[in-house]
Amino acid sequence: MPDSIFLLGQGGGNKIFQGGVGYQDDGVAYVSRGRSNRVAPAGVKGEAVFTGVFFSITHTMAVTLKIVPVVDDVALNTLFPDTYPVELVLLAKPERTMERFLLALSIPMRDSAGVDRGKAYPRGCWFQLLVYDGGLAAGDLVYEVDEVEYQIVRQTAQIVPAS
Amino acid sequence: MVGALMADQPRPTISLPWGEGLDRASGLAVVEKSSYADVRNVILYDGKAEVRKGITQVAQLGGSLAGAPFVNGAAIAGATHISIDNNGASTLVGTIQPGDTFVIAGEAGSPVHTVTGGPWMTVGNAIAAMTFTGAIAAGGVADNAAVTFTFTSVQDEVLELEAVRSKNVSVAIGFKRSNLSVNVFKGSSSGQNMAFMGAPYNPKAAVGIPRYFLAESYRKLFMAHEFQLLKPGVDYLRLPTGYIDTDANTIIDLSVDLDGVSGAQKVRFRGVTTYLNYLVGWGYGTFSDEDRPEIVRVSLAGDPLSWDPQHYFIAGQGGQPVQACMAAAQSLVVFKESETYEIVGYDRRTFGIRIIDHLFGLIAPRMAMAVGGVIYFWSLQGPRITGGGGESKDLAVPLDLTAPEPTDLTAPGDPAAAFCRYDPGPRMAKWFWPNEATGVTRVYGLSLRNPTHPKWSYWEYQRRIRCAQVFFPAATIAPPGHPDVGGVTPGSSTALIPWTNTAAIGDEVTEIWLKDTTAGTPYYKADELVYTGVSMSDLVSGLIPTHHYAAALRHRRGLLYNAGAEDTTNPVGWPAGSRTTFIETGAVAAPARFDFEAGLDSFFDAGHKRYIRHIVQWLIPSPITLGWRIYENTANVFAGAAVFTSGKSHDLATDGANSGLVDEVCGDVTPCVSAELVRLQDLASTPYYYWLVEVEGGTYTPGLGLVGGTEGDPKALEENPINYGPI
Repeated sequence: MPDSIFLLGQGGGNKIFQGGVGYQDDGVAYVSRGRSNRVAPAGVKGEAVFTGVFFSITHTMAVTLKIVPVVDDVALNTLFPDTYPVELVLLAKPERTMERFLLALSIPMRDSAGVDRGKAYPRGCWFQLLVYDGGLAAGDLVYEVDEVEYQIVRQTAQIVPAS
Repeated sequence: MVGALMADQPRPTISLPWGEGLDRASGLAVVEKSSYADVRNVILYDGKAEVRKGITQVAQLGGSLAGAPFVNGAAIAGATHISIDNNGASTLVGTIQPGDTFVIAGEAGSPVHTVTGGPWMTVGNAIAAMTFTGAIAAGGVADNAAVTFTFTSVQDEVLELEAVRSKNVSVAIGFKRSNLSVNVFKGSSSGQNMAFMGAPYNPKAAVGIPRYFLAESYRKLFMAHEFQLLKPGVDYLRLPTGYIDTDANTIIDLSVDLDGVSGAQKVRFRGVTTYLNYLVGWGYGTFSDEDRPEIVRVSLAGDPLSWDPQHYFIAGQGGQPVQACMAAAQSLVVFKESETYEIVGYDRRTFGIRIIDHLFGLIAPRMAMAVGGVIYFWSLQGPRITGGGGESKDLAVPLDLTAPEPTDLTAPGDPAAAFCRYDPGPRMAKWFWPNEATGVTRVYGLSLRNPTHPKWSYWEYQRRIRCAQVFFPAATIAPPGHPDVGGVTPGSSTALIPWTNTAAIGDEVTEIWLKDTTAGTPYYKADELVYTGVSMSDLVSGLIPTHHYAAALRHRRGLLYNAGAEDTTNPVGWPAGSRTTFIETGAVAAPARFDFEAGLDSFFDAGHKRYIRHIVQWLIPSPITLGWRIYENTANVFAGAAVFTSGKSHDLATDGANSGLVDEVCGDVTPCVSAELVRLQDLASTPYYYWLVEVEGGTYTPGLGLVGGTEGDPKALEENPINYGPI
């Protein structure tokens, strides 16, 4: 039993809600999501190939996370809808468990018969990561940290983060 | 954009921890790599982002009933209470509030009954002895007749919520659009079981949906209508300031003489809050100079009902309204729209007001919140922070409020409806922007887990949220004692139940549960009282004469009950000292008189027939509400007698003149009830005999319920037998 509870009053209705309960808003689903700020690992006007994303998640929830790389302000699911978003399927855990995943960002190159003939990786200057859930469920879900793996193709002066 | 991977070699990574939250404004070259451009519906802490939980309904303002209700036990004509259940079918769960109406299938004339008392909550798929006005029509209603409710008590908006900590209860303010009424409800300390208290105010249509400031001061909850325009024309638009007494269930206008010449008049503050041991109200001058939006008044110390006309402050230029006042650690901060003042000092000798910020104020009255002596507020330029004593500091930079927003972020609503609250669970200051068009609420959340490094995120509630509040259920400690019930003093329809609060903390609520063991009804909660002392008593009413009752009492704090009394469905298992039994007196004491008023017989003609009218009257034993029937027979034998007429006695202490059954013919013999007996003259060629029978509860037992005589001996009628012979 919590020491305090947070209640919310409905506009356009007569309901009083308690916050911090369940995984829907009065029966309506909501989505957790994060979109990182842009980073340029090869520096402004440099180029890098983005090969994968390390994902650290703590969870009990069974949920599918969806990951979309955004390179130079282009969300790659708009260009390659068969490949992106990359889906990370998490199974339910009886207690909070931290797991770490490496998701390849490669794009399969197929011939006209649909046979894989190779793979390519996103390449560009600015990289962002868009992550969202594919439908919440009972349990906990904690986004720990994402790490984008890259390889520099053409480097310019490295930007210096603030502080 | 898409290229082949080059040489296979160890590759570096860039870390993007979620917990830094939003930073949308620092610029690409200097922005923290670890910050995010968009983070939604997460709680930020320790470099992590935990997905927030949802919201779920725990209470409502107004009645509702899930499942199909039926009459549980036939009700006779004139009855004003019924029991309902699910008739063994669907689950029946809900609450019926006073003012809700219902009709019963098969009832003659299909009258609409209006619920009184309550609220009536289902216990075990049933509600026992629900009272109402509009008695059951002639012919009664059958067991298992379907009941159809109309929940007129349902509110259209939840305007405000407040925890009344001194009383360990909660208060909610609702609004009904159909009749423009502001309605007050009282519930448990956890905000549940909201019961209708009253409808004190009806704002003008021009007001729209009202907004309120609530402030608890010295065991009273003050409510001020937050509306800038006081009286732009002939009529007031701003409603009076009132206060709620949750013990007496009353809402009273605050009336004060603020100019020393007008006498006590209604006050119409735009807002109220507490500071030290004062109640503070703003936006109102005096009855003779009302529209003074720059005025801030303080009550006398420790007495929020007493106001000295001279105890006020003028915040800046006249006519520029004070938006809100809020206590910081060392002062009372007074917000106007684009500047900020503070009142320093602690009493009349030391009070003073000064400006502390010339540029920034409050965008809307409900957009400031105090957390740990510091005030977080939303200015015209975005969120800021002040502790008083100087200019406020900017919190808005990471939000980059003037830049394009994430395209799919829900749109914010009107700032006038926006509000803020600190949510202690995620340790987050939240500014809510409910959008009436979309029905969704955007929230700017500021994580204060580390107050020196607050972090922003967006939340999107999928409902339009109009208000929020932190509640403190007295639930961490269950009631350590229990009520020890004493000897009950039964009446004919009431019972005085005394008890002793053993080992009480002092904020317990005592619930009184009753069971009509004669009728076999389930236990129902007859009443509940907040702790007022070691020895308490309660007069429960609506009982049935001669019936046997079981009573069980228990203590409640928040959602917890005293040991052994947790099971609501089976009070038989509650501590023995908390239970007792009693028998209502049968006391439908025989009427002192049951006869016909001499000289009051009269004749009248209708439809070419002549009728005779007799007035019959009888004394009733006490001002109680009882149903009655008069039986007649052509023989002086009750067997075979038929109901001639029926009705309902009334509480003469309060309802003596308007019942239609009680009138002046009783003369000096009060309390009494009278009724007309009208007979077609030519049908009354033989004597008729009449018996007055107590029928409350619908369980007449021949011979037992007969009053005024016994079978074969209608005493009063022996004195004045009716014999309508032919003319």
